Amino acid sequence: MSVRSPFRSIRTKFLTVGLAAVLLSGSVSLFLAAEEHQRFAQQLRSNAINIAKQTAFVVAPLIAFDSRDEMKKALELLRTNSDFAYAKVTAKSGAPIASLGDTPSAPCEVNGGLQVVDRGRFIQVTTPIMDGGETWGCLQLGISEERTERDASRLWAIALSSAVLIMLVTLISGAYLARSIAYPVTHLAEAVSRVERGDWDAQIDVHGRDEVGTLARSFRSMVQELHGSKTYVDDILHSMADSLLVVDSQRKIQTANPATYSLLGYENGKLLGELIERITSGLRRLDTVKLSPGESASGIETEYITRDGERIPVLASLAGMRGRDDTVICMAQDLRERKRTELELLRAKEAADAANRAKSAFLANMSHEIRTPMNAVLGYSQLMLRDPGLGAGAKENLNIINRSGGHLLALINDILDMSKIEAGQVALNPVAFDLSELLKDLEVMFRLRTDSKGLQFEVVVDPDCERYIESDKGKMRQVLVNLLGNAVKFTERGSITLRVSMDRREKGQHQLLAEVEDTGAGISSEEQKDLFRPFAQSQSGRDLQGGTGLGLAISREFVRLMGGEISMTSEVGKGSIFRFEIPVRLSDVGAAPEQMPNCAVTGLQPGQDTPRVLVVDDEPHNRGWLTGLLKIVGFEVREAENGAAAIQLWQDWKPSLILMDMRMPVMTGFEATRRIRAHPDGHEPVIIALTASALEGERGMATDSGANDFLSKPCPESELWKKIREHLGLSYRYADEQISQNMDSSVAAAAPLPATLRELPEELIAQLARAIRNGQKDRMDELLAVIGERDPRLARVLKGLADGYEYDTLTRLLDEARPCSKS
Amino acid sequence: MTRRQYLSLTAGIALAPAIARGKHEEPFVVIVHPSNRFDALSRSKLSFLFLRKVSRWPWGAEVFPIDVAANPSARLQFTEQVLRTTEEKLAEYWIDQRATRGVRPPIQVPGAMAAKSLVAGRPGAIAYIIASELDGTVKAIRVDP
Repeated sequence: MSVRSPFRSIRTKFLTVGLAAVLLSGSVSLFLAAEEHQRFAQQLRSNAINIAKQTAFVVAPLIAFDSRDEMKKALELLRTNSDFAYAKVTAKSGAPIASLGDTPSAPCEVNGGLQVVDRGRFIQVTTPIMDGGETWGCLQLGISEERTERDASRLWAIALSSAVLIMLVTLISGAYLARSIAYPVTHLAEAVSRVERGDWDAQIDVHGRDEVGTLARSFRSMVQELHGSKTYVDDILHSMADSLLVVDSQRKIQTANPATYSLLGYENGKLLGELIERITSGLRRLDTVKLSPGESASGIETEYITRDGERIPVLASLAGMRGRDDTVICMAQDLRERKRTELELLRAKEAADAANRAKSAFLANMSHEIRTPMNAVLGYSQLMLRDPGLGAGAKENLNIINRSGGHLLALINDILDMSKIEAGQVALNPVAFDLSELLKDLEVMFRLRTDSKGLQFEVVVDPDCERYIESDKGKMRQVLVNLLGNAVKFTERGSITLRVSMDRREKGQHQLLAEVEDTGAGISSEEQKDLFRPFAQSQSGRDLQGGTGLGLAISREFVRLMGGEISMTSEVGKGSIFRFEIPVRLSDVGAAPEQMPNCAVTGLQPGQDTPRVLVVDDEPHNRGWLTGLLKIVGFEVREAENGAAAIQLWQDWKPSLILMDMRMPVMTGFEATRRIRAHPDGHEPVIIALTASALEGERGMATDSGANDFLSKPCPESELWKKIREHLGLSYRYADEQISQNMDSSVAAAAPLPATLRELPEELIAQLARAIRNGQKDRMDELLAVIGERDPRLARVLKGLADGYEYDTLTRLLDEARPCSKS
Repeated sequence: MTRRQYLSLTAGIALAPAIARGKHEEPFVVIVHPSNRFDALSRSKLSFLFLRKVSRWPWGAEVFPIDVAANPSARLQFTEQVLRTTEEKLAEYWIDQRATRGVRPPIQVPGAMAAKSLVAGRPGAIAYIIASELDGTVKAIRVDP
């Protein structure tokens, strides 16, 4: 129930009511007194008339019979009335007949009828005396008003005194009520409004056992409780480290805690009533969503704007306020510190990434740089071993140098692979290829080694195995070489078996399973668990002092990259089985792009222009190798050793193809490519970038600078022919006989090379042997190019051996081809 | 003086004119209730009573006049000598009185017996009869000129 009362104090109300009561009672008393007074006068008047009429009635026959004595007696009777003043009877003629009392001198008007006149102290009634239709005379009767006046005065006195009494009583009760109700209520009301203004210490001095006292007590305890809960909520708001805002449906800020003020730099209380837009450019959810009570949204990243205009990133969460429609509570956490940390972490990560890239680049460069001097080390140590005058001790020392050099080379290659893996720069490069071809190559390659160690070597291919598949051939090959190499290395007696099978899976997917089993030393179970970790070697591996401990780690990473897994079982003394499974796709023969390169390119089809090719590389043996190959096939070739020279030659000679190494002194390939492309005629030549070995990031840079395509160094010959054909639109002549373009030095060793070698001029063989002995790599490349003109296949095989630093094998082959050799 | 003599005397005085007119008529006498305080009444006062101009006796009793219809001689004498009017004018008077004031003429009784009986029974009654019919049940009063 709500009672609305106009704004007037209770005291005023009491006063008004009291005054009304006093006025009412006073006026009622006075009114009643006046009424009574009037009634008295009326009564007196009618009494006087009655008396006059009765007297006239009695007197009438007395006049008629002229009974004067009787009349006197009748008038005397009037004296019994206490109010009687006088009486006078006059005859019709006007002659007085009888009178009593102090009669007036005025004549009695017989014809005037009944008349009543107030004569001040008296009421005089004049009436004709009639009987039997005859007027016999006139009667004048005086009645005193004295007694009536006296009664009226007494009445007035009573009325006035009772009015005064009522007034007094009213005033006294009013004062009592004011004291017992109005004063405490007023005091209570003042206390309430003080509390309302926030003065929680307002004293309420109202006691007593009545309702007001109870009210005051209840109010006191209510205020205490309210103060307690408000303090509690305030303490929470003050203690909060995060900003808290309450925003109403008009988007005005209703509440803001101290953390908000200190965050935004406003004075306390300055934000109340302000629009939320003043401190935020728009909380997205506040703009678009009206949250109903109980709904909430969290994790909103937005910005608050401080008083100085600074934008502070905050993490806000919103909640609809319970019991208030469209009122939203907004909590916000200062994200500056976190953002700073994130930025630092990001920078640290970038720095780490940069360092890692630098490491990878350094390793790639170093490995590249180390390989060149290693040529000389390995080449010369092998040549020195062939010196018959060498003592046993020196031979042993040379063997150590040779083995260590070989180890170092393997180590560099492995480290290069591992750093590429760690840098995440190893990409899957799936191609369609002939699986049986690959397995055949591997068999040829390893049979040499197993034969030399007296081991049995068997390659078992499941009949269900598909021949043409699509996968990363290079990586698969490397993993198999690794596993077979390990098997040969650690097996002294018995056999080595390579088993390959295939499981049919859905949607053209097949699972390739490869297994390498040996009867070697085996690996203890303690060593097994660390086997695939980088630089972890088994005891036997350490005993043999060979390998880097990276082979299996690299293999595992490659297998994983191909979507498979590698595992092993082993028993010490009995042997080991390494197996891996990878998903492969089937490929039909026609689609296999390997078809073209499988046939060796022997020359250009007649009827075509002879294209000019400019080979740019700072390393002479790299230029030599490429130049040799290109010349064999029939291109017109020139060389430049840096970018500046390349530009000069391009302008003078106008080649249609430039094979550009990217990393060179004086001017890099990137820069030279850019400059050529910037030239008005620069769009003409096809530029194929030769990117540094390992770093795939360079490819993007190369194409960015304007190169049409890229080849990684060292590139398979087939790739070179393929790219040239694509860009220049050439057609080649092919050799009838198929030769594996990937033929390894070991594979080459197994081929019947000496026979073809013998067909070469003896002088050429002698020059090559000399170049090998002297470690002159560029001279070797030149001579190989000459050989390539006569027999491209032979030249490729020899080149493969030379690039693999298999100088020992090369020398042996050349010696066998020279019957007149000194040895 | 005997009662008879008194009556004859008074009647003779009162009715002298009638007698004088030569007509032989018995005199009338006015009778009242024996308690009536008056012994004599003036002719004018008597006419007030019979014309109903006075309704009460001085002691308050109601005046009850009675007319005797049976004796036209007495009635005529009373009208002429006491009321000093004619029968016609008297009739007009009562018609007028009745119309204006609602006053009826005195009641008429058939004879002296009835008149005497009524007067004897009512203290305020007054009537006139032939003098010879007077007896002790009523009081005769003198009529002064």
